[in-house]
Amino acid sequence: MTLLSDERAEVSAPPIDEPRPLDPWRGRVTVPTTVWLSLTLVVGLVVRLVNLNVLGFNSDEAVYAGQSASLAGNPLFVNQFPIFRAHPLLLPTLMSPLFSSGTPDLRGRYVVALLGVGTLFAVFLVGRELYGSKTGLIGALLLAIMPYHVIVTRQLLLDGPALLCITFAFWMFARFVRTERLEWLAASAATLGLAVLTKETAVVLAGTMVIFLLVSAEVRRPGRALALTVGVLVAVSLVFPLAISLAGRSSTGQNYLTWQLTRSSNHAETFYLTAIPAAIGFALIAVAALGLVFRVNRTWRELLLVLWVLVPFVIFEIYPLKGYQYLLPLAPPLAVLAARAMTTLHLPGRWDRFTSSIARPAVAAVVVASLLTGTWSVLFPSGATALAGQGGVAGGREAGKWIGANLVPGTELMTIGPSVANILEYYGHRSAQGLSVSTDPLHRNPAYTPIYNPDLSVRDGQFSYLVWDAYSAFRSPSSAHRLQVLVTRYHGIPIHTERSNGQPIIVIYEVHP
Amino acid sequence: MRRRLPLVLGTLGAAAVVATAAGPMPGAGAASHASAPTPAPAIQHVIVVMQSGHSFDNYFGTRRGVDGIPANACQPLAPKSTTCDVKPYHLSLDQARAGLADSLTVTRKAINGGKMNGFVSAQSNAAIGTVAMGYLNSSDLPYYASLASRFTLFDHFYAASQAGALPNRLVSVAATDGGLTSNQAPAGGISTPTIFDRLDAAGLGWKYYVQGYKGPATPTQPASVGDQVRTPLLAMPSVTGTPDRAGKIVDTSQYYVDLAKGQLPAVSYVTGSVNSERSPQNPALGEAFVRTLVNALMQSSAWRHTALLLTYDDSGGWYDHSLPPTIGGTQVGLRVPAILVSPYARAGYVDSTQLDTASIPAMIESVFHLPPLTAQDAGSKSILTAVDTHQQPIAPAISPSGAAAVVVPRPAVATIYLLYGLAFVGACLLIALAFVRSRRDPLAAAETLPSPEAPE
Repeated sequence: MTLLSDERAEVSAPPIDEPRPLDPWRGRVTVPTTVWLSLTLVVGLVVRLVNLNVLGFNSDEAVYAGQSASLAGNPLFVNQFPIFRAHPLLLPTLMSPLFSSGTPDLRGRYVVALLGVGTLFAVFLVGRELYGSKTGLIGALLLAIMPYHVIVTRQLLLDGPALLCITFAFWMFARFVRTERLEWLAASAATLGLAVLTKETAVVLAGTMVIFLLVSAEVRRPGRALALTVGVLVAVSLVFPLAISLAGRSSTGQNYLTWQLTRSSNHAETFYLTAIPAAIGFALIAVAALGLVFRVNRTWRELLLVLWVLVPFVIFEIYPLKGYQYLLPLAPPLAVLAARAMTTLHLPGRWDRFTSSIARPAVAAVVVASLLTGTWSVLFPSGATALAGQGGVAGGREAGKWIGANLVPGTELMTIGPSVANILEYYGHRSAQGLSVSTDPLHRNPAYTPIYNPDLSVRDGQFSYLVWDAYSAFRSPSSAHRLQVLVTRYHGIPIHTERSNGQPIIVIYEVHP
Repeated sequence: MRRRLPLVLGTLGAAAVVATAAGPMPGAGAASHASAPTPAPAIQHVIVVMQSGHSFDNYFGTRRGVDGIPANACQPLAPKSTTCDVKPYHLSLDQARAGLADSLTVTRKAINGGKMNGFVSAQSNAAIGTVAMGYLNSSDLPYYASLASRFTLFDHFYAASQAGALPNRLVSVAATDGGLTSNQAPAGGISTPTIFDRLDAAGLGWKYYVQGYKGPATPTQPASVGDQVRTPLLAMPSVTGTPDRAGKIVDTSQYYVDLAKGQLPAVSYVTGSVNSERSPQNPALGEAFVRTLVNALMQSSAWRHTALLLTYDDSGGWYDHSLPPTIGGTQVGLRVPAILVSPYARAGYVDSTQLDTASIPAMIESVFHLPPLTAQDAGSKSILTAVDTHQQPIAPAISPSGAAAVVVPRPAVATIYLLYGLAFVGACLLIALAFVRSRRDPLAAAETLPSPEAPE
């Protein structure tokens, strides 16, 4: 609130129709800037492509890829992956030509990695729009090596592409604020609409824009701007429900809405505070925060960036459902704020002469080193992770391919949970169902079919293969125990094992009642 | 089809000769004495899955392309009436669990001297008799329908005997009903030679898999009548009195173990008990039992060299319109369903060759080059008319069940592409508009000015 007060105190809007004063730092992108930006993008691309194929898809990736393939009419997937699931279909629609045949995985990740690099460019534009090219460059570099963004944009997830749209939307929004040209606002709202059509959670960023329009003295006709923003955003976003309805899947949409609204909390309240800061970088967050505290001449620019951070954080913190990648929209504004702090850092008094030679490089070195350390562990992991969204599932792709090559078409598999079931269905083209899927329709993803009576299903011959995996066993020990009971009861014989560091991570059992 | 018969028989005969010359067959249990490499015979394993108590019309009478229920089929309620009282109708699976009688007397009454109009009146009362006219279709038994679509369905396969399950099952292993006129074995047991004697003599392995089999009978726990009906070997002292042979009657759980270990014998008989399908058992559970058997076979290495015949011991009292032929002076029983499942079965083919239960030992004798047991199997036409060893082997494919069998109709994909495409293009146009107009904007000129780096 102090920030808002300061901003209001310092900024007095010029009269309507009077041309805005020009920002003195605005100018053509210079050759050195182009070179450094290109290097930054190359670095960003490299860290997103190194070891990209070490692990196969995780559950969410398998679902999105399966949707794309199903949309494209890929015969391997049309009967296995329903097109409509929880999220909108902009990305699957655009990617579907890549999935029209075979069982592709890497090409989908390439697309997301490239879009992630595109986000770096968008961050450069945001930083340059607000503070100049140097801030833009540093902001892009910080995001390029930020573990959080690297992790998410190395996976075929919706969050990376949605963030690209969000960042471009805020760049255009900033241009609107500077120029008050409504076409930039319309373009910004439309781009945010594309973000919503990529992943519906992006709609929370509309809150940032709305609050900014309401509280910032910089915007001279907030009512008009608000109406335009909301109107364009709603018009574009309406495609999501409209497509479901016109494609004849209204009940599917309602089922997902009911499920999303009634889902119980999946993580503790402290989840984001414990899981995300390290991925963004403690040093980066600290520098961004200190920059805000010590730089007193705060303007609409800082207001916009702070709202860009706070609104999604507060909303997702309140929302009971938590996801590792949900806070990704915080990454660009934090990177820009940190870059702003680095470029404007001044040492007090007589030490100021060391600002450029020592202080700024030292701070930058610490932040970059801390980010690189985290990113290194992403590119060259030493152990498996069990947090959804953090990466692929070790052995999942290999087990799926083994199933596809060795088990007769039509075989049905019972897994501990739906995550590995999705992976095995994607790579193995065999139906798989998770034991942990609730029989209560209010407590399960409508895309999943529960196993009402696992024991009977095995005895009836529906399931001849039971799949144990370490990832699901960690997340759902009780379901893992139930599966092991069935394996023992029905004389399970391990017919295939995937190992990591010598330890079994996926075991496929053949059972006979 | 008949023109191809000599070719097929010749092929299989040659295969059998090669098999005999080559000696052992994998899993058959014989010693090897082959001296030169010879091509492996196409069929090295025969599995006979015999379920109970359904007629062809009851299961497949409404299937297209078969000799199914005639359009004018109708039965009178009274024994000597000629009225049309009960027409065939679609049963629910629960209705299919009515307890119909199917004794020799009932079957004779149903056939009624060739008039084929006593199916309703032959039962104990009109209510049960009416049920006899019911049928199930592919929605009730989707797995059997899928097997018929992918392999060979026989629509003139008759139960060899009109006298019930045991005489027919005896025919399936001995090519004779031994004079039995009911499901009661004679007091001294059955002592007729069987196909297993032939197999033993040839050094070929065999097993009789019985669902829920608890082991050899003991003085305190004799074999039940039901066990003996389903497994005539239990009524044969020559088998029960010889531990080696008695030990070849095993529970069906051993079938899966044998498949998994690659130890499937040359000849296997498999029979359900609690899932035999005979009313009042639920046909769907019997279908699931058979699906498990076939799935396991398809998932095993034995699949490539196996012929599995799924058939039924008798018609179970259900209506069937086809007049049973007279073979060797005896009118055989009513038609029963029969499907040959094999990589070499003719895919999606309806074979109308007149066959009966004695064709089962005849098939085994053909494949393994064994001498016939009786005149009945010697004169029986071969099931192997449905086999073409020169065809591209049919790849195994398990018919899905449960959730996997649910086919969700495809949504209007064009609508999805159109709407998302419009949104994408519309947004791009708005962005392009902003760029174009900003170039005309005097404020945009500011971007061309050389400027210092930081605003502060």
